Amino acid sequence: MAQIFPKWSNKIPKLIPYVLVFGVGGIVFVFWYWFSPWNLEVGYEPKQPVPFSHKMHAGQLGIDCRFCHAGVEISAVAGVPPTETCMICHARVKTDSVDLEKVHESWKTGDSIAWSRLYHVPNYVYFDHSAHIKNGVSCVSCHGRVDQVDRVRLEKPLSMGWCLDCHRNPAPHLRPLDKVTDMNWEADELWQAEAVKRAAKLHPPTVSCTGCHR
Amino acid sequence: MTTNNSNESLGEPIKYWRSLEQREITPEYIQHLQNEYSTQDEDEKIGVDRRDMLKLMGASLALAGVSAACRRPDIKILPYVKQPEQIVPGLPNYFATSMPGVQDAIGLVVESHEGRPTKIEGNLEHPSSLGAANFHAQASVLQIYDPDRSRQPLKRSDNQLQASSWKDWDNFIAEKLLVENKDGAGLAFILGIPSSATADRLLAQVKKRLPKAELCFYDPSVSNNEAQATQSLFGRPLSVLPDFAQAQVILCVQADPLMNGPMSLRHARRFAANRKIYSADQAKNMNRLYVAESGFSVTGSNADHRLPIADLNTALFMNALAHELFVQQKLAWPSTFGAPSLNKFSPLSGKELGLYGKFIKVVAKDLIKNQGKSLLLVGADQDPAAIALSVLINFALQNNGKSFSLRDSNNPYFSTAGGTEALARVTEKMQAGSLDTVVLLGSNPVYASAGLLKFAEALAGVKTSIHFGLYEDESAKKCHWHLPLSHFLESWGDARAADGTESIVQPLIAPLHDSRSALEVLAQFAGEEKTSGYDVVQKTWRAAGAKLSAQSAWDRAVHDGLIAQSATPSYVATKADLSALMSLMDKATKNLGENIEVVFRNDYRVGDGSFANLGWLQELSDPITKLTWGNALLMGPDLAKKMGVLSRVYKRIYEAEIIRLKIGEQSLEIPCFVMPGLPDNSVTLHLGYGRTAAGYVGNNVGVDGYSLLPKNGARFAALDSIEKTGRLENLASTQEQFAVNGHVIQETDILSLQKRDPARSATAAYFAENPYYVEEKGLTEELTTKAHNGEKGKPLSIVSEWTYPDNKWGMVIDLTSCIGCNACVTACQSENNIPVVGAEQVMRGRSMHWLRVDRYFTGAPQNPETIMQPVPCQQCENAPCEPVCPVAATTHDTEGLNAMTYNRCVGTRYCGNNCSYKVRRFNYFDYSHSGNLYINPVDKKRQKLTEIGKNPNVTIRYRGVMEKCTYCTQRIQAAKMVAIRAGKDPNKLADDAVTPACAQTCPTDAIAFGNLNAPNSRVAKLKDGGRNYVMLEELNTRPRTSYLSKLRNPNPELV
Repeated sequence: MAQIFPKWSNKIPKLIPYVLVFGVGGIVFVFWYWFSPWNLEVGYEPKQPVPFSHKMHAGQLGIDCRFCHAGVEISAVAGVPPTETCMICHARVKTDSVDLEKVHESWKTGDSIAWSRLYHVPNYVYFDHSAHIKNGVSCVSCHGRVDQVDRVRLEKPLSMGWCLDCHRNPAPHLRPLDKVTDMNWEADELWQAEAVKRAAKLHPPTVSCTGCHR
Repeated sequence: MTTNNSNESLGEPIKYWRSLEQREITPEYIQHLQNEYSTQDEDEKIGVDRRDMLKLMGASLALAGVSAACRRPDIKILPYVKQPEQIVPGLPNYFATSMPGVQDAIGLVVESHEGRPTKIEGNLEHPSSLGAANFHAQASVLQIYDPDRSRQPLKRSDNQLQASSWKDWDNFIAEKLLVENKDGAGLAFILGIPSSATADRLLAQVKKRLPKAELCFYDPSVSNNEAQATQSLFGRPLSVLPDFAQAQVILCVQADPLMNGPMSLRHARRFAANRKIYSADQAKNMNRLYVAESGFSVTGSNADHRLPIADLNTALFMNALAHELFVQQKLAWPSTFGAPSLNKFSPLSGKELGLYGKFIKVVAKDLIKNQGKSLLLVGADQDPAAIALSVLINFALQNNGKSFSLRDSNNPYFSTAGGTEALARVTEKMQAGSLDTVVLLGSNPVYASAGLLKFAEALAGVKTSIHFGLYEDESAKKCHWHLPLSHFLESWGDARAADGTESIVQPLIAPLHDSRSALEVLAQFAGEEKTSGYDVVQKTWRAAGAKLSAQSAWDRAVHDGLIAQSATPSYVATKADLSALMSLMDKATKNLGENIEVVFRNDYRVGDGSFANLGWLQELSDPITKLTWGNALLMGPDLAKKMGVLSRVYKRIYEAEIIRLKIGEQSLEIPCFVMPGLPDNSVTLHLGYGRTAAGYVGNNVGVDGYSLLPKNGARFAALDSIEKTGRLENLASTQEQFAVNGHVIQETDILSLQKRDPARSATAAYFAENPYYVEEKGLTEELTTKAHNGEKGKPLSIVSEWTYPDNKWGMVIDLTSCIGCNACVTACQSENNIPVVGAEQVMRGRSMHWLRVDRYFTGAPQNPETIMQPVPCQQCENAPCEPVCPVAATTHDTEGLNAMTYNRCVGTRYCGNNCSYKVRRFNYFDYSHSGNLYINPVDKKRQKLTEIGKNPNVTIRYRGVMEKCTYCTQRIQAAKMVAIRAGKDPNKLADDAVTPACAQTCPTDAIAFGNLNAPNSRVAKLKDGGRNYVMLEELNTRPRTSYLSKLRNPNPELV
């Protein structure tokens, strides 16, 4: 009677543990790494209708964040500036720039400029900018150094785990309230000790579900 | 099996019951109690083939799979070009406006998100609102976004209404209408009843410009009997304005002032002011309400003594009351009015003496004892003789100027020449051919007029008929022109409250469709130069010498929503024409016969039918019957027994027998709902249903009762015959749904639980002597930790307790104040984006209301007492729902809320099964999106309109997700954000920092909410009081929502 299994098949039982460890482990890794928001979300950098440069405005010109994102201290929404804000300067500055065509068009026609949304939490999450700004969390903590890039990209994964990391340990992200929009500010050792104290005194940021989900 | 069949009863009747079936405790009822969710065979009973359903669901899933994309969607942000100064994205604005009502205006404050009105609240400073809003006002925010509203002018050609334009209309009116109907000859206007200074001004102009035109004011639900009665007594039309806060003893005869008619919100609040009983002293000053009525009204459900009495007998009753007061008990007749011939007042005799005799005697005594602080009200649609008598009795009781006052009627045109008679006159002229153009403005008489009037046929014979309305309704479909009207939230205007307070109607948004407001239309007929709503209102108020001629005064009025101190002064009566009273009394109904009468009442929810397309209102349980999505003939248990009417709860569905009613040639078939507390010679029929052109939601819901309505405008009629048909129909009744004692498995336990008071009521007198009486009915001592130092013991617990160092939210609902108006339910629906599910889903027990009002009866079915109990999530500290969730979607929050995280929920429904209070709701389908009743699957554009009215601060739940009340956690968060922005501690909020939607809109201030940890917390104090108790205390769930027991103030002589 002919052999059903060739001789090499003897190796199969020995291979099973390797397949299990590397195969299953590999699948887990693929999901854990490539499917995580760190991989899927971070780096999202859509092309905007107007090639607005944060590097130029926030960095070189040193315009404060709140000049354009005016709702950030009083509202949940920081707000994308109305065309009128652009026109404060650009009614006179660079009036013939090709890049600004859409801005001028919007001003003339009254139609909004359709910016692509970058930072977006799901509809069941309610984030409030003012609460963070008023407690000394800097823009940089979530939006990165926008003063160093022309076109901003999504810097953080905006996953729930990432939110909670900070809510459980806010001290590293706290700043003096007047330095919240300062892009270049770095914590010194004195402040680091102060921040820990401040975090303890701070109304502890909620980790209850109701804090963000309604 | 009939309702009154007492076989198979498992025990003696229980004390508190929701339905006659529950009172009997049938085995089917017990089975029903045990299942929170309907089972397969029950689903099949409603008539949906499960296999078809699965196919459909499979197909929709497959489609969903195809359309779902893996790419990150490119979401656009569209900022303003020029951002309005007062708008900050993310922060709502609030604007005052007014909702014009029938002879009234309700002052409102509307929440607006980036220019879109999303939520209605009452205006605290407005006299007819006092901070509250009713469910009609709440639902106006649904109406403005109703996709069924008409969107453009239509003109008939080729026998069809076809698209036209306002330009066409303007040409038509200038070149044809005003030429052919010169001076208004052959022209008639049929108008709703405006209650507005600008409308008055414009109408006067119309009269001047078109002197021969006929002006007819018609509202099917408004009778001018009150105006007639006062006209004959005092020579001018007056309206009655009571002040409940000054009334200690109140008798309402066929009147429903707490819920219906002008200023009902104010009356409810002022009435409840004398029912805030927290101490023995206050208990002695509790007011007392007597109600004699044919239907079962909300006012009747709050009565300390209620007497079922047919409408036919109202005049007789009032006559006997006058006899008792003036002849028997020698009440002095108001001397300024001359002396009446007292022999006109006759005592009762025969059957009526037995039924009403004692009631009248005792009430008369109580009224006389409380002279100057008593009040007698007769329904404004009752016999003029009865109304006239009630006015004079109030004078005799020296109530005038205190609890009772008269004011010049709000609408001069209507009171003298309005109502059904005017409509009948115009209809006759139409039939005679003397009218060739009819303009319908803000009224829908083709649907809402007596069937015998044959208005529709008469209208068809008119050469040109023109309809202005919000919807392309029944009347529009019969007309040659249909022109869309703007919603009040889209238009400038003014409105006059019942006390004369001038209120400003401010638009929240530009008209969504190509429409004009009613004032703009009138301005065109009046020949105004500038016809925009803003201009005509400005012209009324800003003209030289007018009240608001100064800019600052106008600004102030717009800001406040009203003109301060503009109420009409009360009328000082110096003499009355008693001969007129006598002749009215001679004309009054005396026919007592053996006939059964049918009483017509506006449905609480859809009104006269004009609110029929509002799903929130259709799905709202009627405050008294607990019916949704339709009406029924209401019949007392004795009459039902005599007739052998079939009705049963079979597998959760209320099956009712169809009854045939006949008056002359007109007949009507309608399912019959056996309603406790109705007299045995009267049946009640609610109008407003059975519409054919209401819209996608309101079409063909219920039965149209207008066909039986008498031509003369009377609100009752003797039936020629009433007979059974033997056929059964399903009614979407919620009175059995979510019964709280259903979670216990053993039947014996159910019985023992049911004998317990869910509402723990007592009399005020008993409370005064036993201020901690509710505890007697609470837990026994072995179940609690020992009480000491006057403190109450707590239930024993085996688990460690949560601590709440920060905010600790709590709610107290005062069952004595709660009148059961259901405004809170709609407020909750509006605030929390709660979807509408439809009649069939309601029958399956799937309605989504987070807050329901349970209605309990107690006593004999012939005339029971009622208790209303609003039940939101109880926010248990030991919540049964939390530990059973396998995915931690429902968790405890640090402030004591049972949080519900929708995106985490996988829909096991374990929490719903484990909830002792049945306050969790499951989305069986995608009710908010694809299953939205407002969205016709064929027309996707409709969806956009409904979406913009949603509250942006609350997640819209998807299919397969459990949802529930969270004490309006979005408002709690908003309050915390306000604190943070102001640099304050969000964990130490003030007691009144947060008001949930239900508490905010409550007309009687029955719902108190606050922070139990705040200093001087009102809620904490209420919870310490003697009347405080929690539902199902023995389960040790430790609810944060507690109740203050129901107190009544019965007259010992009548008990």
